[in-house]
Amino acid sequence: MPESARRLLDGIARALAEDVSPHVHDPFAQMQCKAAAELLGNLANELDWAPEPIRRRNDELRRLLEVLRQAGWGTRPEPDESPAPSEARAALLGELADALRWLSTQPAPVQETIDAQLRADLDRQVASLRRGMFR
Amino acid sequence: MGEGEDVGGGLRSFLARQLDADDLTITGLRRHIEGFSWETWDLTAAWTADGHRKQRLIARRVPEAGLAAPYDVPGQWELAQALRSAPGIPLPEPLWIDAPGSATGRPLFLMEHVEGDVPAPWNTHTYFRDDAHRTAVGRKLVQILAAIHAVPLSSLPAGLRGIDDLSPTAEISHFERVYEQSREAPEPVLERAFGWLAANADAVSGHRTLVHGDFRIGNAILRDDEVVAMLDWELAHVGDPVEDLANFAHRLYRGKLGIPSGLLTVDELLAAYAEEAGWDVSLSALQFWLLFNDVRSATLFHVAARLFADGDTRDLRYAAFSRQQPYLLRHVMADLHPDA
Repeated sequence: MPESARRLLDGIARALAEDVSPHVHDPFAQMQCKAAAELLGNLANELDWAPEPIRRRNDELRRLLEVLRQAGWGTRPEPDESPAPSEARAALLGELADALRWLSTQPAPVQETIDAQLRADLDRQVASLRRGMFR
Repeated sequence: MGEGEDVGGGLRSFLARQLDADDLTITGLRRHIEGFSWETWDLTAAWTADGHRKQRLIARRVPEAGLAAPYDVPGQWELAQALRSAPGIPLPEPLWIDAPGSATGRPLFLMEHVEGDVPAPWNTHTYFRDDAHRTAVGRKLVQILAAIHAVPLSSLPAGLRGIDDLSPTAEISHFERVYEQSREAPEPVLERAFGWLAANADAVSGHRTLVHGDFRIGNAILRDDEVVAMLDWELAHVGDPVEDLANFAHRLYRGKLGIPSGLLTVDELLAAYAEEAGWDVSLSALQFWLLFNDVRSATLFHVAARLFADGDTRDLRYAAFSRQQPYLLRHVMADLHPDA
């Protein structure tokens, strides 16, 4: 995403949270302002016109799949990365869903190994999230 | 004309008909913004009938887009009527029902307003006078929970979810369908969790009762140290009663004290329930349903996102939830390996 667009989105979010919200006295309307500010900040990280974050996420999903394959999950043909990273993501998530259902049939140590990877993956996602509605 | 004026006018006409009181007026109409389920309106009605009468009321209206659809107003009404005759379960008196939704455009029912406080789990460390007070309220809630679980199934509405489904994991199947219908794409952690629940279903308790579905301190009204009403029955169903204990102990509701509903430790909760209900809940059953409650919460965030994406609501909070999934998914992973 172009840096100017990021600044724009960040600015809208900041204005809603800091300039508009304090002056809105209806509680429902005020919460709407805060939700909008939070959402804009989070959307800025993933819009399609910025494919790099999607590719980065696809790489993370591939790493999860690779650990599952090492644990015995059958290999499938690598999804085509082109033309759209979002299509590749859909294919990766579909295979991960099947692999993670399969995981429940595996011995406990295998499950624990994969679950540790899932926890680490979640920690990465949480680190990039912003919160504003419920502080 | 704003939404409040529409609803207020509709409620005034409806109540005037119910009470045969043309002079009925409504004051203090206010919509509650907390919660993401029923649309809740607070109002005071005044009218003449053997003198001047005045009553504060709560209207529960089918929401524009709620997280616990379908909203079955006649079903909730029937459940409330059934529970009024069951011992030990305090709840607001149901007063009037508009099942067709002719009063305000959507179905609703009205009930008495119950005075009191609804403590939040994150305030229990300051709300109560001391540990003994907090523990006593926790035990009273457990007594009510045991009373809910003792309600004869034969007295419940025929349309209540799970009443005809003998599978101990019917509620999990229900929410798995909700997840599959609302998700934009498979969520790896939820796929893992649903798989685990299916593979470990022998952990259920084997008991089958009425389940409140959202039993916790935040759905209780307290007054003078007593629990005077349990609210929010829209997730009620028939299933494993341990599901309610797990919701009481949900990580979201542990507050600053880090204990179930900010009231009792897990050991205290299980001991109190064993005393009241007459049977022991195993830790493995509690852990199983704790995981389910995490999964259900995360699934409801998917529902919120879908409602917004489909244009069913313009409430931006629903859209924001779509990006907050990882926080809830961390609870899923924590309860998958509680000793990790």
